[in-house]
Parts: sequence; structure tokens; C-alpha cells
Amino acid sequence: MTREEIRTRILEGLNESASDPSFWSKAEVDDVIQEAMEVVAEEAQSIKHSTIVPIRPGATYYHTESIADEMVIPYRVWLHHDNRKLEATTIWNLDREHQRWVDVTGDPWNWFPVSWDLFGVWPRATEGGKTLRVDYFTWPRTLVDDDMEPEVPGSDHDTFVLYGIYDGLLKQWDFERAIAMFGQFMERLATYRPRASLELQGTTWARTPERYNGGRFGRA
Amino acid sequence: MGAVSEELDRVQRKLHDSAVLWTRDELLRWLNDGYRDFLARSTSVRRFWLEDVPGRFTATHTHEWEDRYSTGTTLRFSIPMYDRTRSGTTIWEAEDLEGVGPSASLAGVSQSWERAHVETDLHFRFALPSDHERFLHVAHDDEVLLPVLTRQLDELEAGWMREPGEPRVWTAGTGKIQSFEIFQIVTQYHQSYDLDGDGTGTPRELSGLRTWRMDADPEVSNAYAYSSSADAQALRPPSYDFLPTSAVTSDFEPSFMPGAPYRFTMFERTDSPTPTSADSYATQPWEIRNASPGRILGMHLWEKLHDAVMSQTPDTKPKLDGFGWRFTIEVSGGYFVTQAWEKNQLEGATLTAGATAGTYAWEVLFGAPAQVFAWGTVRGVASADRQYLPVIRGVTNDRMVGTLRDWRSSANAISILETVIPEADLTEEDPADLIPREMLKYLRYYVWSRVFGRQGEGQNPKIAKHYFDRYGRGVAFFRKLHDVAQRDRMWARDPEAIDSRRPARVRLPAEFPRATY
Repeated sequence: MTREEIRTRILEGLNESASDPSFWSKAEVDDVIQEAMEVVAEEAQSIKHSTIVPIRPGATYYHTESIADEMVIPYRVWLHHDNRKLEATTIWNLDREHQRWVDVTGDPWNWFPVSWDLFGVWPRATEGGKTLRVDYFTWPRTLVDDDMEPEVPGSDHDTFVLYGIYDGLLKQWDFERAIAMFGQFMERLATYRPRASLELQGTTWARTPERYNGGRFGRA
Repeated sequence: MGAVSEELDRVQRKLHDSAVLWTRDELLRWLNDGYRDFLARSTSVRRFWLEDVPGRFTATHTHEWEDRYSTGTTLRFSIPMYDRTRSGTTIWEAEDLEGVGPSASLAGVSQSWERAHVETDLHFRFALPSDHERFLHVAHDDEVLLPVLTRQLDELEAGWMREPGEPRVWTAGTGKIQSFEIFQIVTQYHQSYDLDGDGTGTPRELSGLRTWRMDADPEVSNAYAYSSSADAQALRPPSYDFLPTSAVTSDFEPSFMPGAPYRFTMFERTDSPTPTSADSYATQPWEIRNASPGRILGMHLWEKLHDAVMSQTPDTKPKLDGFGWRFTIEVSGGYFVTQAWEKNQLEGATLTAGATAGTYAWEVLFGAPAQVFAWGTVRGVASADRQYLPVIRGVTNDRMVGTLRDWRSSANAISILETVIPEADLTEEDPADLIPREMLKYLRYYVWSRVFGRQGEGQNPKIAKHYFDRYGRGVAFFRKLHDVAQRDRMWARDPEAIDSRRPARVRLPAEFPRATY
């Protein structure tokens, strides 16, 4: 659905004229649609983007904003020229393995979190010339016109309609119905999350073939 | 990012209230409460804080009440004694006040750096900024310090707070909140960077143990050159040494005068520097219609020292426009030379070969050394050997604009990774930049939860709880963001099976004596 179609459904769900609403402005509803997209992206972490970052000589830390403004959280860092993934670790793991890990130089093998907007790579490179590919979850792009569509599968666009109606009911101070509508939204979201994860979609689940011996030993 | 006022507008839109039931100030206070709580509970906003060793304090004081008059970090160096009615600096004073014979004591100091000269009982304390919320990682000279309890250090049964050596652990210590101590202590004084110029302006030149090179884009050339610091003082206001260069009586004369001429006369009709039409020039009031008593009218600024009156404020800015450059090399003793061998000669060192010396940057075309002038402000510092990381402190991130105010290093210093909270309340014009823009909706939920939770008209506990639950989901989500690598880790049960079976009980022979406990 396009933004206009979602907005139309929201207003109709609130018993309002879609072409000439009175209690809401179109801009207001568009803001709610954007907020709904953010909530879905945060809960499901389904929107993925990638970018290339040149390795900066001497740099250990990278601000996520210097890589991508819309980045929520990186989930994969790949050393492009060497065709290998950097393993996730923590500062505390590095402390355990090295007395002065900040001084170790070379091609990066690990990456570690520091803050919501900062992560580090270890070891730090002293020369440029190589690049990192950073794959990350992102907040949804802003729908700037009525013809744009959200970056989620079409079958889940009604999630935004439910959220929009919920928000409209809050503005009407119809709190009981609003809470009920929010419950529907969360139920819908619960079905969206696993479908958004392609890895889970490709997984098969089975009981381990070895029998588990849950009995206790006999008495001596 | 938009200002806080936009968020409050969105809050009010749902309240259908024009600040009658819920005032704007009230909403802003709740938003600030939510902002602070959001940062504190999520622990996702993290900063590096570096401290030179020994710790620096904005002010040290002798009584507790004095710290309210300092806006920075403080240290009470005195020791309360005699039922806290007195403050002393050494232990023997407490004994003497109580009428007990004083014993030998270590020296009292008011600053930690004094440890380089005397041994003292003062704990080796460091202060933390007001936005500090929680420690995450502490290191000295980039080696981690482990956290320990003060009680564990006390079990050493030694004066651990005075023991010099290599720091290995840190502890909360016995000081007030927002402070910590380390063990063992470092007595040598170390300072990573020293800012000249009383902390004003922006750094223009870097010097020290490391070699610095400046790149400016675009490169500029100097407009004029001078040879000594005396020239700089004379050219820079408020120096009167060179200015004005001549005195004139009328406004058409400066066009014929070099340098910085100054018109010292008044206008006849108004007895002021401001003319009316068809006016003439005068120096004395009696020449002018008001016929006041005469005065000493100065032609040069220095004549003010002799009670002269200036007709107008002379333009003391140098008439030299543009960027000036001292092209000489300064030698101790107040000398300025153009060649390295002259410096060698004055210092008694081995003479080095001379080279072409230029006075303008463009003279590089003729063999003079290339000059890159540090104009503008520092926008980045890069090195293959280390990283210079910009860190924002304050209420908002403000997208890293402005100039560098503080330079610190982790070498031989304490480095802390800490979670922070806002240093001060936001006003409506401030952006809440410490969190992503997308997180602002959770602050709105917080405000709405407080709005509907407040007793009185409009109270609705059910919807207040709903909004608060939504705020809680935001905190939980933002908390995940600080561990940006959590989605990349392989989570798996330990491959070694956990044996939850208990060992078989021992069966004793029937004739074994009964065991009693």
C-alpha cells in the first residue's frame, strides 16, 4: 500500500472523511504512519541496509553516524578484501586476552560495541586500503510523498493501519478502544517478527535423535 | 533534529488543552524527567572520560558548604574534626583539639599534585563530571583496572591509599559520590595537554613530544609578515604603540596619508564628531557657539595620559587587513632569527646549513619552505599510531560543531567508559540530541503517562499505565542498542552436558555405629 492508501484506511477506520478529515490533518496522520513504521522496525528489526566503510589508519572506533545516519544497530561486519567476517566480542573479553589491547595493530579480526552510536574494531589498522562492509538494521526511510510504500512486505501494511487507528482513538480519548486496538497491533506484530527473519524461515526444528536419559542411577 | 518544543506541541495536540490544565512548564519538566530516566535506565549513551594523573579539580575547599559555589569538580582537602566543628589539614590537629598529645603526622595538601613533593594521608581521589551515571570500564595507561571494594583494600592492613606504584584496581573509596580512588597511586605529575591562552579562542598550533603536521583546505597565504612578538603586540589591539600613525584635522586628509591617520577635531555646529551639513572643524568649545571653557584636545591616543580629551574613538584596529605571520624563529633570550644556524650560534650548538627563508607563503615557488597556516578551526586529527576521538559533553550532541575546548590523552592517564545523563535540563529550544530522533516518541509517552497520572482533572490511571508501559518498551529497546554486537553473537548451549544427577548415597553396613552430628 502507498502512504495515501494507508492514510485512507486509517481515517476510514476512525469514521473520518479520507479526502477532507476534520479532527486530524493529513500531515498528522502521515506522522503517525511514520511512527508506526518506526515501532515495527524497532520491534522486528527487519529492515536491513549495507554500506562500505574504508578502514581508517589508526582508528579503533567508528561512529555509526559517520557510517549511516539511519543506522539502528549493526549486525554484521565483513572485511571485504580478506573475505572474512569480524567476530563480535566485548571490551572485557579483550581485557582478558591482552594487557594492552589498544596497542595491538594489524588487520581487524573482531568488532565490539561501545555505545549506541559507537563501535570498535580490533586490532586497529595502521594502513588504509581495505574496507569494511557493515550490514545494519535501520529505521524506515521517511515517506516523503503519497506514492511511496513502506519497506515491509505488503501483507503487513495493515499493521500500520491498526497503529494509526489506535493513535487516533487516543486522540479521541477513547482509551478503552485504543488499548484494545493496541492489543490487536501487538498480536499482528508477533506474527510479523518471525516472518521478517529469513534465517528463521529457512530453519528446521527437530528433537535431537539421541534419547535423553532422564532417569536417575540405581541405588548402590 | 527538531527542538523539544516540537515534541511538546505533539503532546499538547492529544491533550486538547492550551496549557490550562497542564502548563507548558509542567510538560517540559516531565519531559526532562523522562529524558534523564531514559538515559539512566537504558545505559546506552556512553562516553569516554579521560583524567590526567593525579586528578584535577576545579576547586578545592575546606568546608562542605563551599562546593555549592563551584560549577565544576571539587575536593574537600581538609579533615573534619572535633565533632565536625573544626576543619584541619593534618591528623595531629584532631589530637590537639581533643586534648590528646599530638603525634607525628603526614603533611596536609590542598591539591593532589602536591604528592610529587610530600607524602600525605589524603586519599588519591578523582572526581567525575556531573553527568556521570555509571562506570563501565576503567583503565590506566590503557591497561584495565579491576573494581574492588574498599573493604578488600582495607584487608591489606596497610596504608593502601598512600602506597605508590602501578595502578591495578579502582574502588569507590571513601569520598562523596561522583568520585573514585585507585590503588596503587601515582605520585609523579603528568599532564597530557596544556592549553596556552587562558582557555580562550581555538588552538592554532600544536607542539610537544609528537610531530604535528597541519593540513588546511583551502590553503591561504598571509597578507603581511612581521619579525618579532613585539610587532604582534603592537599590531594587536588594544595596543596604542603604532596607532594612530598621524593626526589630521579634516576628513578629506586621510586619503592622502599612509598608515592609520586620526582626525582629532570636532565639528563646529555640534561640538561632536558627528557632522551636520555645511559644517566646519574646531578644536575648542569657545570656537563653537556654546562658548564653553577650553579643553585639551588630543591628537594621539597616548595624550590621554595627560588628560587630553579625544574627539572620537579612534579606530585602533590595525590598518593591515588579513592574516599576519611571524616568519622568524624564536630563540630563548628574546631573540628572533631567520636562519637555523643563527639559533644554533646563540645556543652554542653545532651549526646547521642555512636555507631560503620566505616571508610570504607564495615564496615556496622560489625555494622557501612551504607554509600551511592553521586558519579556521580544527576539524579532525588523524594519525596511523593512535586515534583522536571527538567526544561531546554537555546537554546536547549538537552534531559536533564548534571548536575543541579540551584535549586529553589516555597515555599515563585514567580513561573511563561511562554512561551519562543530561548535564542540565533542556529548554524548549534545545534538541534532545543524546538519543536518536526516533526515540523521542518514548519521551512523549513518558510525558503522557505523567499527564494522565497526575491527580486532578483528566486523571486516568489506566491510560497512564499504558503510556508508561510503552515508555518501558522504548527503554528496553534502547538498552539493546548499546550492545550493537548482540545480534552477531552465536548463542548456544554449552556443548558439555550438564550432569544434574546427584551422586549415589553411601550405604553403610547395618552394624556401623550410628552417625550423629
